[in-house]
Amino acid sequence: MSAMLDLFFAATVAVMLILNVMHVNDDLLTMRHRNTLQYALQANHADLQGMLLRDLRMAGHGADPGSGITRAYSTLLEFRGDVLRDGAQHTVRYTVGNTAEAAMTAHPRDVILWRTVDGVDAQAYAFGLVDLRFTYLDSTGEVTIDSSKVRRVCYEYVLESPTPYGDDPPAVWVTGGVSPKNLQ
Amino acid sequence: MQLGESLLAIAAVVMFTVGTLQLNGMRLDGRTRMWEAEFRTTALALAQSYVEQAQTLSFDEVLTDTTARAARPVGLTPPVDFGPDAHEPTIDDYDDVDDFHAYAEDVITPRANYHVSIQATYADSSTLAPGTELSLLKWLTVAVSSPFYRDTLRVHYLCALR
Repeated sequence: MSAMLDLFFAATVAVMLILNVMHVNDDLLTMRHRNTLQYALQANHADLQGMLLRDLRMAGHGADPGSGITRAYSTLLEFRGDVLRDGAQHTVRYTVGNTAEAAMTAHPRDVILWRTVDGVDAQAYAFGLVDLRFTYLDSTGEVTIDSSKVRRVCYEYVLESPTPYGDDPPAVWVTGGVSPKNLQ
Repeated sequence: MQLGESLLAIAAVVMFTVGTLQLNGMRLDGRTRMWEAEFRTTALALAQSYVEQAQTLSFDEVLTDTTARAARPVGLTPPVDFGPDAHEPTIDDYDDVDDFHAYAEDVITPRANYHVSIQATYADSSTLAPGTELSLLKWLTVAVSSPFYRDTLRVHYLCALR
């Protein structure tokens, strides 16, 4: 009887130990996966914000007053500026696409961000972008839809990890704005 | 089972329990830090947006009047007068860096809520240490806190009069 109890006790402890190890292993794998997605998210966020800031700071450079921003919509922004730093003026257009265009990505809800320079060489960025909205402020700080009055371009976007992760993927909500010196 | 064996078994169970609890603690800590990192990413972006706005503003109120010829740094705004002026009721009306002084705002994002507070000080020209003496340098410190992470995230922006 005593030997049976010993065996039962040892087996129980062994099962608990194995279950615990499996649980820890699963947890470590989950955390590692989420961490990897988070790094990818942060890298995408840095790339997207860097690109937006670099371009928007050049908005209106070399353009006539009032013509720096040529189209100002919530999901479409077009402006003129020397974004290639070659002394010439270029027209840059940002367009937020739809989820159908991003069918090739693993994320079901992300959209493509299109960037074109002078209407050619369309670049499609699959950042895991879920939403991007531009708003435009005039010299008094009021929202305007008149592109000639724009003095500040504000953006708000939500990025999620490039691949889905349950119902709550790593995400970052970003809001910011640029007041290009050439539009002042 | 002898007494010695029983003691050994009990000791093994105690060790196993302590080990399991520590492991759980480590997992919880790792998970907490992982979530904090996510919320801090948004906090950092939030702080950057204020710095980005400040970067487009004048160094000092007296310099917004381009016809004025104030002595520098003697004629600049004293620290006690930092903060928005009477004609600057909202952040969009700010026209110089130190208008942000004592600014505070609660920002609610789709994922978390944050509290932003901003302080402006002059900076010592040689040591860059924050100070109250007028100089051609100003520190802008954007602090973002949230119940979703420990400590407070601070972004410092050194603004120079050019």
